[in-house]
Amino acid sequence: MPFLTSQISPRGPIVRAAIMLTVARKEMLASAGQTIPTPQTIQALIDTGASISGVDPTILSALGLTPTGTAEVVSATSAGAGVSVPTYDVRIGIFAARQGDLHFISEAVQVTATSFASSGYQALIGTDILSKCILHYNGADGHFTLAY
Amino acid sequence: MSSASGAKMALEKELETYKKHLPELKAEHEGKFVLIHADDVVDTFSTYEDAIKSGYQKFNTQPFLVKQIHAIEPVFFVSRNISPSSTAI
Repeated sequence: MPFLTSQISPRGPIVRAAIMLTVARKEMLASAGQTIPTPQTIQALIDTGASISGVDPTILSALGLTPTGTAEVVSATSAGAGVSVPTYDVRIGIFAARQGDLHFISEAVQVTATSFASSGYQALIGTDILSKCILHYNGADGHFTLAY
Repeated sequence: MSSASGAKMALEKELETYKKHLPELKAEHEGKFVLIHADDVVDTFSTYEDAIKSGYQKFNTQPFLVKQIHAIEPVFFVSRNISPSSTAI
């Protein structure tokens, strides 16, 4: 099982990730003779408190994505009430700690557009993706391991 | 269900179609993924990937909605102090 081990940053467990088009959208664009946007390399926070992953709107816009779904979301700023938000179909890849290769690429998942201005990361990796991984958080030693 | 800002939400028409057809969808296809375009319930699929693929094949860049059919809409949680965007990009 491939894994990566990295230090826990002051902002939490952060991995280098790539947000990319789903195979279905890539095939549609290719058959229409349109340009296929390149994957966006970003920093992503592993967040076990998020049950759906989120990506900054600037990244989704760079990929030319439009919504293909909706989700009912409760956030820290929604006062306990669920709000309906659009979702986007993407694949999320996670890079190995040292090499440049992508070690994990998710199947198509739906993510919310969530602004992370000035937070030092551009996406949250939630339990929708972590449910397929093993996460070991060693706070005492200041590192985490993600296996997938 | 309201949008975060009260602004008109993307796929609003498709969402209305989903709600309108939910009684028969949940009776026959609960757990599956439905593909909706405007007023039309196009088809249901066993996987999200298959539904998305069919949506792009049939509608290209036109709006379409893929939604898992639930009798009770599941709620997702985000623990961060953030406001999910409510409108299309």
